[in-house]
Amino acid sequence: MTWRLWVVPVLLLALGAGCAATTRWDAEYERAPQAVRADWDLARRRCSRCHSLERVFLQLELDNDRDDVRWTVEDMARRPSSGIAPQEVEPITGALDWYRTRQNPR
Amino acid sequence: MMSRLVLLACVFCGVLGAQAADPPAPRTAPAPRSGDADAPLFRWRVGASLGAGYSALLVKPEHDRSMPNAGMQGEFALWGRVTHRDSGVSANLRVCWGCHGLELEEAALAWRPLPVFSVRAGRLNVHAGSFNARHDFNTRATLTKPLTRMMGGMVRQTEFNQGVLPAPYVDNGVNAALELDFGAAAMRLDGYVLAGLKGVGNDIAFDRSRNFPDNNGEPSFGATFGLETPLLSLHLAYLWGNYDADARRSYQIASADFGARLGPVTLEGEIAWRQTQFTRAGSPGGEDQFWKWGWWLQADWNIVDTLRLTLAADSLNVKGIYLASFGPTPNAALAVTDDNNRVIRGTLGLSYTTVGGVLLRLSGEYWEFSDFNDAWVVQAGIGWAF
Repeated sequence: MTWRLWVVPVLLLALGAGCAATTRWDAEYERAPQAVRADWDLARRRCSRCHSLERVFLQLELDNDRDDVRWTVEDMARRPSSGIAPQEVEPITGALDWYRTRQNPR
Repeated sequence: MMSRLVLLACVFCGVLGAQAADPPAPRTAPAPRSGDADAPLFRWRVGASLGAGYSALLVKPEHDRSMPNAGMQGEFALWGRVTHRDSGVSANLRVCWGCHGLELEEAALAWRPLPVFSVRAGRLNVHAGSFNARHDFNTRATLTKPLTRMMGGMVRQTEFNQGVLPAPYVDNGVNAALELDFGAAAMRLDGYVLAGLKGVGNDIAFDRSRNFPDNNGEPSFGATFGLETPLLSLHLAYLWGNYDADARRSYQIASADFGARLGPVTLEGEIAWRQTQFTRAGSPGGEDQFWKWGWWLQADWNIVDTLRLTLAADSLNVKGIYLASFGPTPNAALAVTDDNNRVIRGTLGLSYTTVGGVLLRLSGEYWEFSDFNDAWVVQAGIGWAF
C-alpha cells in the first residue's frame, strides 16, 4: 500500500511536467539550420546520458574556439561508457560549435 | 505486486515504443583543427561540483544509527585540467571536501606519446567499472550509489562493511591504455599498477584505502577492457592485490557493466564480485575466504531534457563470513547474523535541472534485508556543477 501511495503521485507529476515543458535544447533545435539539426539532436542524446544539458550550455559559454569544444568532446568520449563513438566526435563538436559561435562569437 | 508490474510495464512500453533506438547520425563535414601556431600554448579548464542532500532513515526502532550518512550531508569538489600544446601532456587535479573531510581525488599527469597509447601516473581515479568515472555527486540521477559501490549511504553499513569496491576508487599508481578506433566503435584496454586497497582484520577498509602510504610495500594490479558503440557500452574490470600489512591476505575483484541508450531511456547495469581472504584466530592467514557480490540495474527516463525519472534495483550479498555489529567476523560467538547475508533495494527517484544547471533530486528507497529489519530511506538534494 505504501508503494502505491508513493509511485502514483510521482508518476503523475513527472508525466504532467513532461507533457507541458519545452526545453532550451528544443528551442535551439528550432533555430538551427537543417544541416546542424541532426547533429544537435545527436549531441542531446549523447551528452544527456551522463549529465544535464545545462552543463553543456555552461561550458560553451566558456569555450573560446572550436578546438576548445572538441577538447571537451574528445575528453568525454574517452570516459568509460560515454556512448560516444569515435566517428561521432566531429559531428557533436560541429553542432556545439554552431551554438557557441552564435551565442558568443569571438 | 501485480499492479506495480503493470504500472512499470506501461511506462517502459510507452517509452520504448516512442523511439526504439537512436537513429544514425553523422552529417556535418569535419572541420580542420586549428594550426599549432594558432592554438594557445596551454589549454586549461576549471570546474566545481557543489551540493547538499538530506537523507531520512525510516526504520524501527526509531533513532536507529545504522546509516552513517543519515541527515544532512554536503559535497564540495573543485577540479582543474591543463594541457600543454606541444607535448600533449596534461595535468588533472580534483579535490573534494565531503564525507571524509578534504580528499585529493586526482592529481595525475596524462601523457599521450602515440595517438593510440596513453599513460596516466600519480593519484588516479581507477576506472574499475564505468560508474567510477561518473561518481560525481552532481552527475548521478539519485543521491545514492549502487550497492556494489556503496559507502556511507548504506543502511547497515557497519555490519556489511560497505559494498564490493569503493566509488570513487582513488589510488596512487600508473595506468597505461591502448585505444583502438574503429569508427563506429572504440575499444580500450587498460593496465594498472597500484598501491592497492588496504585493510586490517578480516576485510578491506575503504577509509584506510584512501591513505597515501602503501601499507604492505607490494603493488596491486588491475586490467580493464572497454567497448564503446553508439548503442551499447561494455566495460570489464579485474583487480588483484594483498590488503593487509603482512601481504598474506589477498583480494580479487571482477566487475562487468553496460550502458545503453534506447530513445529517451538510459539503461545501466553492473555485476561486481569480490573474493577476500581472511584469518581465523591462531592461523597465519590466507587459507580462508569470503565472497561479496552484488548487481545493479537502473533505468533513467528523460521525460524532457530537464526532468528525469529513475527506477533502480540492486543487491548486495556476503557469504562465508558472519556479520557482527562492528563488521564481518569469522567468530560466530560475536555475530548478529549467520554467514549468508543479502540486501535487496528498490529505488524510485525524480530529478529536475533548472535553467543555469541547478539540480534538484528527490528519491525513495526500500531496503529488504535477509537478517535485519527492512528500512525506508527518503532523500532530497540540491546541487550545481560546471
